[in-house]
Amino acid sequence: MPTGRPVRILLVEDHPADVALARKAFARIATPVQLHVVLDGLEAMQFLHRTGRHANAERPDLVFLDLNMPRMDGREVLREVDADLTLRSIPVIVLTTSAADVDVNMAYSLCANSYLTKPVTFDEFLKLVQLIELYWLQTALIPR
Amino acid sequence: MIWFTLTCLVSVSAGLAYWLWRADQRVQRLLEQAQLDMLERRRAENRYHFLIRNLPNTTVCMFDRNLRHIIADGELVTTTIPPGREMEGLTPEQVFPKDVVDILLPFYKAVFQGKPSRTEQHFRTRTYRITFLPMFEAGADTVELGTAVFLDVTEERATVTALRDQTHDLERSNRDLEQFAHVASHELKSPLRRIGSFADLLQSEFDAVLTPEGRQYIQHIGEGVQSLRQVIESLLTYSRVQPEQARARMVRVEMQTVIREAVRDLALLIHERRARVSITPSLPTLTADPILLRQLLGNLIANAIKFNTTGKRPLVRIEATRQLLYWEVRVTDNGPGIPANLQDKVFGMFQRFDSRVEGSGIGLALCKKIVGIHRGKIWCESPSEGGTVFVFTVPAGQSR
Repeated sequence: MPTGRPVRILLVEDHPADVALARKAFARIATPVQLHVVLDGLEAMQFLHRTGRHANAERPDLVFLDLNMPRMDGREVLREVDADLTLRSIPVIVLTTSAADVDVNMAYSLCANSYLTKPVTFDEFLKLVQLIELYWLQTALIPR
Repeated sequence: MIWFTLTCLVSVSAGLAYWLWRADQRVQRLLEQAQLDMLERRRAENRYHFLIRNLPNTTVCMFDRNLRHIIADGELVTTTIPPGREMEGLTPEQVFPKDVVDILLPFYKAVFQGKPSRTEQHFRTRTYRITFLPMFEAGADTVELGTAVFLDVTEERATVTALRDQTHDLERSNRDLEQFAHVASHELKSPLRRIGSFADLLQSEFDAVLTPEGRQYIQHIGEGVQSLRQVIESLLTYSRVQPEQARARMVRVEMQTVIREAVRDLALLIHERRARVSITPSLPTLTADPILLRQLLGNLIANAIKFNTTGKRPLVRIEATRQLLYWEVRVTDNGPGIPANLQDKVFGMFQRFDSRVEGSGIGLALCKKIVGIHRGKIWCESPSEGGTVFVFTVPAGQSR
């Protein structure tokens, strides 16, 4: 995916520690990434619709979505994005602790393109982010 | 002439006397017979009264077309009817209270239309199952008498209700526990992941400024995280085995097939330890959840191999014998054996007895749960000649 600008990634994650881990991991990969973080589903929808605090937000190339969050959780975000024709084409990767079948099935039946569970150690998490880089940022074609 | 007349008279009167004597004898005999019949009838009556009165929790009534009781005896009569009062010769209206009569009368009447019926009624503090039957005249289809059999089912009903309530409570508390284990393990996972991840980062980014002691601490954190993670995974595995779902999946399963699958799952372990697993050719077909049965046998075989710390080549033998109502499956190994005082404890959760062997501490607890779901029992024996036998039972049900 050779383009001039860095890849814009929206990370929807409520826990500051997990945000810090993600920042760390994305900083260690070769592909330049511009990481935007929002803390819940409500803010994610503002970011995607460019309203409120995020009126100047740019359309992300890829969304990483946690499922369990306060106010508006990831399931609702998936439902809203799935129903919105202008947002549906953005690849959404679910990144969560839940390995429950109901969540996996729900995510894929909506607009999720991939479902990943958060690894237990940082080393494994880094490996996961490297795999994401290899597949989503270097191999797959995604709308830009 | 006179003489002749006299002799005639004498002989006639003698004949008459004889005849009279004979007649009297006949009457006497008839009377005696009648008396005997009466006695016999009274005896028979006595017998069936005795029989009816002593049938446990039962009252038997027979009544005619006018609903007059011809026979009425049993527990209900001896306890409900005031002493000295007979139900026989009386109609239901004359013996039962009004509310009871209102309920029973339609049934009494229906019998004479040739219709048998059964009802369960609650009178005062007792519950009765009442069966009404028409008794047909011999060789005809007219109803001669009606019978009503009252069976006191109060205790039976109470027991059934209590049992149902208890089962309900137990199922609910089991579900709650499973739900709790599931939620708790998920909720524990996230903070644990953060602890582990930041310990990793601390190690990789601050290695230069850490003293050897500091590095040691981080390593301890990592080890703690690993073992806690194992516990959480085990809890999740355990809570994922749901009785209702398992029972819904139960089908006829060839044990031979399931064991072969379990052995295939363990191919690596069997190969590494050069273990030998032998299976008797005659194994039953059971009604079971194939997934759980495979997990059960897999766990038992894996344990038999993993916990063999004797240095000998592990040998595992699986056989099944048919008992009266169930199949008994025995998994025998040539390992070190389990001391008698630990044989019950091995089935507890997180009970670890050999720290040299890596394990989740959940394997046998899970086995016990699986066997329980199949309404069987599991235990272990260590014969004096060494080794351990894990035995579990599965109800034979419709198995061959």
